[in-house]
Amino acid sequence: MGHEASIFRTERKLGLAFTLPIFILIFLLMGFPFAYTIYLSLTNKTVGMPATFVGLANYISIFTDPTYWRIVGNTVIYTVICIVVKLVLGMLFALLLNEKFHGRAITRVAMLLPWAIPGMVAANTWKWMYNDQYGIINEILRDLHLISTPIPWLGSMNLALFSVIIVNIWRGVPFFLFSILGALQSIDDQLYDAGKIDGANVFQRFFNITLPSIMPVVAISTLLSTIWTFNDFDNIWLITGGGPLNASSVIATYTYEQAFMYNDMARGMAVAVSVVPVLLILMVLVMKHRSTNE
Amino acid sequence: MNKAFKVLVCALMLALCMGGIFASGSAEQDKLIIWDKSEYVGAYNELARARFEEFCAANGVEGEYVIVPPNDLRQRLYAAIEGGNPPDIVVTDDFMAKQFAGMGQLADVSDIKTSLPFIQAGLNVSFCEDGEYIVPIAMLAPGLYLRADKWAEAGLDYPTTWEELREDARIINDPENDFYALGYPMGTSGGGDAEGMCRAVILAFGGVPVDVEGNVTVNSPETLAALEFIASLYEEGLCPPSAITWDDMGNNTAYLAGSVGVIQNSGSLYSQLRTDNPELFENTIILPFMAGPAGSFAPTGSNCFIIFENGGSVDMAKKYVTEFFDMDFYKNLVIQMGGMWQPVIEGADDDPFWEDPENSGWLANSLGGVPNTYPAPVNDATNRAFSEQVCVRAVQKIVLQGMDPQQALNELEADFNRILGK
Repeated sequence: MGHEASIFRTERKLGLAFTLPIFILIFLLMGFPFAYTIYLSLTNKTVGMPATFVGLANYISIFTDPTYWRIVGNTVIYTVICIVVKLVLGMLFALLLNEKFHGRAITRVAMLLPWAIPGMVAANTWKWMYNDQYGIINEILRDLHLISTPIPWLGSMNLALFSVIIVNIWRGVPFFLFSILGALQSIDDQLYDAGKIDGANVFQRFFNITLPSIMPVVAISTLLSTIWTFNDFDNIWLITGGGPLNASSVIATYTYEQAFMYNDMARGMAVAVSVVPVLLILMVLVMKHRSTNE
Repeated sequence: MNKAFKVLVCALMLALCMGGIFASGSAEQDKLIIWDKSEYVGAYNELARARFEEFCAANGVEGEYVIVPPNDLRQRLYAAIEGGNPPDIVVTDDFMAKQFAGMGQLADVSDIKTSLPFIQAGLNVSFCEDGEYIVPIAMLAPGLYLRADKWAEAGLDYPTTWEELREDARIINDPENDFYALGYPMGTSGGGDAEGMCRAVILAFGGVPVDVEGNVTVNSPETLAALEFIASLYEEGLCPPSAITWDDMGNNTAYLAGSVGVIQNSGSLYSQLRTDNPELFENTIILPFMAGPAGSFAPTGSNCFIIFENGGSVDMAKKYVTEFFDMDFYKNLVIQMGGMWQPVIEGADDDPFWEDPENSGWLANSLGGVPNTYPAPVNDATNRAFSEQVCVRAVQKIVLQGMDPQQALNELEADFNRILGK
């Protein structure tokens, strides 16, 4: 017994010794930048100048700035609408593509395309489509006699956020679709047969068999997509630049704007760090969900 | 032995990790690196790259020629400066360069400026209170492009004042047929066209954003009238609806597509029209900037070199910049730009190209403009205010948020005070 404990202790030490460099590497690559970001948010750092500690001044500044709260509001609206619509559409398309019909394989490939196209290409394509004078969207609406003058999709305070939400949904639906489709295909058909024998209708089968079976996948997909959507940058930056007048700006683009357009690194870092608690909660939920599944 | 072995393994792995990390940061110290602007005229980057590579080969140095889109330059430079690894030479707009002058990052170039015969306009446009850090490459004179055929159809004389331009625009405007009289971009993408237009109107109306002593004097009835005038161009639908968010390419694209009647631009578009759309070229006339009660002002910028002190090859960079102005190469390069650039070296305009009436017009414009921040002192703060497009934001607030013009002006004043540290 004593000998076994000794071997265990030795192996544990050896294991620690071997994994220590990786821990150090992870800290250097991930922990250090994160800690440095928090430090910078407590300074008056601008590019090319040394940082001086200013305490919570940057946080007080952003929390008392109405623009910041507007950006937070935009971020919440953007994230919630995108996630809800992507989930619903992803689920509907997954159920559809789980059925057998002619051209199913081609349809599946076509549905994957928005996710496979590089973000830069997709954003610029949509930007062109949204163009008020030459864009295809206004062209179609005009041909259908639904509008007489062009709609400034990206130049209106009321439409800019809505326009980038559509693009995010378009790009994000395939992720939900294929995650849920994979889960649907793993459901045993005998469950449906038993349901039918017991007289369950389509809706009862969906709510009592399908939904509980795919719920773990739906939950993890939703959590992951929420984190990605919350942090979305390129989609918005490339299409509207967060404008006009921050109408479509979210935390990620506002951080970039403060740090790199206005050279106020410290304030930009404070904006970024201010939402870390929200992201931490989401990440804890993901990890908890994973460990529960395991 | 066992313990010693474990320590050795750990030390080895750590050394590998740390070595890998730190080795990557010190690999390219001996290279001469230039970040050049991606230019509207493609021939520029080809000629500049060839020149740079030829220089590097002749001087036995390894060179790296990188083309950076103007809208990305600031962000990339910030990252490079913070990373302690800026390029040796950067080609950029003077208002961007002047922002770096106050950072203590740039090498003094007074030796280059005294050794070469720069014209006074070139010296003026590259002057900065913070020091001699900027070498002008070429003037970028703006002009007002106007569709002469549309004015002829309407039987109108060409306008000379901003008020006349608006009156004419109301007649020319035809949005039902996708034609808008005016194509002024008013987005905040970071380019200089929109802010330049706002400053031109404010000055013409008698407003002074920042006076010669550096006092913020923007909040005046004259500036208010100017902001209301600019906003009216969008509120009355004289510009395309999305023009309020266009970047500096928006007006070029719209004019080339034939969907707007007037734009304000450098000679870049003119040279493109000549080759790509001769019909539109024939129907285009270049006019001086419109005047207001206080006169006509054309904020004029330039392309310039800056050399980074921490780039690692300051002497070689200075040698390259000096040799760049070899008369044969430089004269040809400026001419290849087709009127978009105007020379800053004495004698470089001694060519039949500049005797052509169209090109001589651009040359004359380049000598008569005012700095972007006129009449304010030229320093990093006043140029930062220009670069942050504070006047553009004021116009956007009036047009997009329906803000009271006086309130927008009050906020504009606050923006100037914030940036200038008042």
